Amino acid sequence: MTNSDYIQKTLPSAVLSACEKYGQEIVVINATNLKGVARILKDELGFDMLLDISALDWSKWVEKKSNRFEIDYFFYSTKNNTRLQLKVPVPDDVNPVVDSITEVYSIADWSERECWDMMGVKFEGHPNLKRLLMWRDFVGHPLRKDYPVTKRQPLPIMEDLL
Amino acid sequence: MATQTTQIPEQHESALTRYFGDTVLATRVDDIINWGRKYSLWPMPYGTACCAIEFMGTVSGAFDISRFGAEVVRFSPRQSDLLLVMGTINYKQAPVLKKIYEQMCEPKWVISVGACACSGGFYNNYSVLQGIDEVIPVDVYVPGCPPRPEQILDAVMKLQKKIDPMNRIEK
Repeated sequence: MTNSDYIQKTLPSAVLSACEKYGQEIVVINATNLKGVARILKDELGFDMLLDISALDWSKWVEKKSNRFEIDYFFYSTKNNTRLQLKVPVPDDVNPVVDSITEVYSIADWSERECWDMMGVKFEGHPNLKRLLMWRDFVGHPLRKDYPVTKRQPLPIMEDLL
Repeated sequence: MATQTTQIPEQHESALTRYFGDTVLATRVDDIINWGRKYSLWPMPYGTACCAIEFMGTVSGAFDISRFGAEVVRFSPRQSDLLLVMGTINYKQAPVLKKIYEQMCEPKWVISVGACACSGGFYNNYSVLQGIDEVIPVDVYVPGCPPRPEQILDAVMKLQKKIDPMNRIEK
């Protein structure tokens, strides 16, 4: 039984689709079931490591997508030496919000802050959701496709780095 | 010595040369100070990218920046008079660079090494400063991505040429 089958069996409404590419399982899930799926992955399937969180903006993609934003989670199991990728389409295009998984994987803290900073995806339940890379007075989210490339926002004063 | 020697009046010349021989050279204060400054530049490297690797080559034996008197690399801005900015400077770093420049004692000079420091290079985006001259004054720009060590040496020589005619009160 593959991992996606197991998730399908435990949380029937969660999995939208699943496939395997280059020996890595890719599971597309519902945004509402994200936290539950993360729990299953960590406690039952042995994915003890969250490698990365990445956000995508599909608004300028050649094919029209139903959801503008998508969050990708990359998991790794040190016990089984396997990888799994979770794809989570974010329902709202204007104010994208998904659940934070910091309760399950505490390493998600900074990754989710980076996603918020660069893409403007809010993570509900995050303990300290503020910008990670850009400065406090920065307006907008620079990696969104509608952010102008030549727009500049100089930093007027030195910030305390700690 | 490239400094201008002033003519010593004849009546004195004979007395001086009788006493000192050719061990004395008369010049102006500005010239002797500039002569000292330009051959003892103490660089401070502010390296953030691959241009700093080229600087390592410039300092090392094969190219040897000490032939131009600039080998005493200091890692404190308070002890140096030549700031070498090598690499990409982003907006978050710009105030840090400015503060470091402000901490240097007068007289001070800045060489901007490489495409990124001069103009932002190919980083034309939300995060990168489009040339360090937006925050600090630059004396010599060195093009290249990264520039060869010879170019950095050339910049040092260009700066020496710039220091030479300077008025002591100017800087």
